[in-house]
Amino acid sequence: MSTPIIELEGVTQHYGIRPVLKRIDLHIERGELVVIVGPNGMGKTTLLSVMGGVLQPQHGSVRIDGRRRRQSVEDEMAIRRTAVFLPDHPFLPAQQTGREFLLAVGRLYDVPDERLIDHVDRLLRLFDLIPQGDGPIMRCSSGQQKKLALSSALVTEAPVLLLDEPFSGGVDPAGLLALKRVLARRVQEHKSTVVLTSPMPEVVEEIADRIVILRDGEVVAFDTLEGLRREFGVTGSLASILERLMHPETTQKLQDYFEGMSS
Amino acid sequence: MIRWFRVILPFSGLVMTFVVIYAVLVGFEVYLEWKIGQPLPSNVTLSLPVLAGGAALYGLYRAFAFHPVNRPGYRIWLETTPWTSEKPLPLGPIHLVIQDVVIIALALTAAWPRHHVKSLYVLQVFLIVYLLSMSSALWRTGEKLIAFSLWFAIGGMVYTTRSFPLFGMIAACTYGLAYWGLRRSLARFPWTLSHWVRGTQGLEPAFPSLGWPYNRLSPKFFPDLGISIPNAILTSLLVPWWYYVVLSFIEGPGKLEAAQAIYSFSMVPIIGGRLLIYLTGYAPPISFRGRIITGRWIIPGYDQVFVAPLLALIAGIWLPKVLTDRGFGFVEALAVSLIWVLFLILIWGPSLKTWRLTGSHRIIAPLGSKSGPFVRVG
Repeated sequence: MSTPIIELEGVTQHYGIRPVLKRIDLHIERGELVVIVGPNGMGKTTLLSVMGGVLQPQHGSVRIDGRRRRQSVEDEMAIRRTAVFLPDHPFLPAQQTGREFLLAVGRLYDVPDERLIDHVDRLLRLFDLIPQGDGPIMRCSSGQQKKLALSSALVTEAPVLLLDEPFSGGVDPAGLLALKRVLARRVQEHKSTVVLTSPMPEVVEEIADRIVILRDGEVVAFDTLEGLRREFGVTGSLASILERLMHPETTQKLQDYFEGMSS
Repeated sequence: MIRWFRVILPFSGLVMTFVVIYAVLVGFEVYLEWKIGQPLPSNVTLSLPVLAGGAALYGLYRAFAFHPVNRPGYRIWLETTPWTSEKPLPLGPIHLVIQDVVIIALALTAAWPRHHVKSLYVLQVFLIVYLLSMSSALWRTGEKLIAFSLWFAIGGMVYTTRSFPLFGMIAACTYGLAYWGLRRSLARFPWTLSHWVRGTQGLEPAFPSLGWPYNRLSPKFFPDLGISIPNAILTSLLVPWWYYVVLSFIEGPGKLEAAQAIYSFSMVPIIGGRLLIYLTGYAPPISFRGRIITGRWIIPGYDQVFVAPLLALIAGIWLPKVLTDRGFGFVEALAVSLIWVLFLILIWGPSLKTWRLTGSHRIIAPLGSKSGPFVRVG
């Protein structure tokens, strides 16, 4: 097996005194689509932010393409060219048009103009952003703004995409379908690596090569869907695996609730 | 005649408005003097300050509006033409020409009957503002050493405003230096400009307008905020020089208090400015409570950012006392201390680039709202 493109060794992160991530070890291979799942507040966004260079872990290290994050100016610049992090709530320039914004982001990542102009046009058409993409971003709906933000990550052509909740934020079904297909194709054909978080098990099942299950800041499991089924002795969907792993108390609560109704 | 002036004059409507305002003001002052039967005291007349203000605006206009570095459209167009510095600039000269001499002479002639030798302030204000504006353009076109020299020399001009012959000599030398710098910078056209100066050119991203996360996690380091050691040394000398120049205008027993007040208040933007530049958007990795409880009182990767401001603060408080004890005058001791404070703030690491790329901080999104320059998505 080749060198992992993303390596986390003993990553521990806390803001106050409550640890959000505890000694996380994770190796993600080139050309994989990995989805981080877990209940709210369990560290999904924090884990992705550590990979994205937004947070510096208190202990442990993050390596991307063999370079350690924040180790040196040269390495950090090289990593930033390789890996693009898109948060759940980005801030977009209100006055620029969507097209101007995407062109500017592409230029930031040195995408050649001829390819960039064409790619931006194709992205705007793919996400149904014509003609809104040629007006100020502030006039777009929240779903259209989210699609512009996602397009900005795609237009960089970075080999590693770190996307926090890309399927939420008002993206319409057509947009969801388009995004899933684009990400899958980039992984399969261009050997890009995508790491994303999602609260939607059905979407995760559909696109993930491997799934990271996070609970209380620890990696409970990291495997393919088949591997998870084998590991936990469950034959059903990811939702049922998560139900068993993450929310056993919810199942019990539901049972209690319905029993109370029938009595 | 008008055509001859049109090469360098602002809009004729603007000039006429100013002339009318000045004439009305002078007329009003003459009327008041006729009514009270004696000349108005010089500290209550407005005609000279207004004329000096007009001269300042004209000086700013002459150096600013004709320089391609200040007008992106003009500069970009000029880059597409076969223009060289041997030819005149198509939209008019930046250097002073005979028309400028005539205009300033007219202003002096208008002021002389009422203000006599004080009318020369109009010329002084024009030259100081013109040369300041010119030095800023020279800085941006890469003639940094000449720009620094001009800023020192303009300080000398301000310092000698009360001695017209001395002012004249320094002004002539300063203008000569500025003219030489201008020729040098025009000879190097087209210039390689920083992102701050260049502005939008076609598809070029205009920093810093890409929002979060692209501004903070950019694979390029746009802000040319870093400072070289020669520039830091020159800046550390220049600011105290101007401090000294400004204090030279304050006389009497209040001078020492004023010197102390200006010195103390200048510490706030100098030290606070560095902290603001370094810390905006770069939060501590853990909370203060987290530090105390976990026993990690000092986080070297983050707390390094406080070392330079702390050293500057200590130097700023301690040095004036040491220097005055060694026989320095109070004002001179403060000026020398200011040199060290600035030097520490500008030179002591980490550099902005090293800090932003390798510091142990938590990068945070900018504050924004629907009414701000960014829209928050989701």
